[in-house]
Amino acid sequence: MTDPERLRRGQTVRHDVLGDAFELRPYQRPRGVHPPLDSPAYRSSALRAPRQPLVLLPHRLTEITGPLLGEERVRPGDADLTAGQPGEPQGERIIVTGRVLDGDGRPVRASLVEIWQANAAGRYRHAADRHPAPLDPNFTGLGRCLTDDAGRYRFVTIKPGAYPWGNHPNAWRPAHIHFSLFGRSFTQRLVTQMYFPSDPLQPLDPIVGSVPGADARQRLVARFDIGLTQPEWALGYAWDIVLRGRGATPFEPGGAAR
Amino acid sequence: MTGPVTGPPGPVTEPEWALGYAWDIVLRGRGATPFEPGRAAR
Repeated sequence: MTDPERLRRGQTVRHDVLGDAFELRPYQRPRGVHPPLDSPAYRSSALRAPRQPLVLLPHRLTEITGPLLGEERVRPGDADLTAGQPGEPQGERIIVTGRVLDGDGRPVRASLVEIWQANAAGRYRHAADRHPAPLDPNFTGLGRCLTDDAGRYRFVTIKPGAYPWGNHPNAWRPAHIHFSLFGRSFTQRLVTQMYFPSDPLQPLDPIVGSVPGADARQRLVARFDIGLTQPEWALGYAWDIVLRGRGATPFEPGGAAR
Repeated sequence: MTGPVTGPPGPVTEPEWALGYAWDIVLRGRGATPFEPGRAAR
């Protein structure tokens, strides 16, 4: 029997890799948390949703052991999207912080957290972005950091703007920040989006709407926190990312969405 | 103020261009807009 067949039958697969024991446990996506692969209202999802059942690929030495970016390559300044340019970016300075937790509430340490986002005017620094809003020469919209021993990440950035995206007539994405998390190997990657509280565009957005259940959708919305807010400097938002369990953060099924 | 309060003539958000917000200002009556007591505050 192959590894995928064992996993499909709910069996744990064990390997010995260069003297280290690895366990692959069967995993099924929980219902009612994560968006489906094909969400008709989110039109481009139809183009990438598989039409055949997924095939579980065996995880061997390469998939289990690497490659990873390497912790030594992440610098403290990488988490401040308002720095590292000749000047300050335009917009509302914010702090976004929270913890990465597993299903039992334990912190996930040394996870590479990457973010990307539009600028304050709702424009990405990307050749494909044709939205007639100004680019900001002092803002790339890219940041990364590693979670600390408490599973905590922290970014300083600019509140992103809403932007049109052509999914349907008069379609606008609510303000959001894209998040990617890596686990202990390159194949352990999760992608999701964080939203801001009280945004009237959220109920109109098919990407938000593809997440089943109001509770799960609410777990994508950060909480404004006056305690995190730094006086005379930046508003603070708190957002925890939960990998599994009843409070799991909804993750996108495949790669990054807009 | 008497008479009905009407909203904007049509959709305010302009596709591919700008989000639209509607806000009516009512001078008196039960639905009066709160006004600041003196000069403009922050």
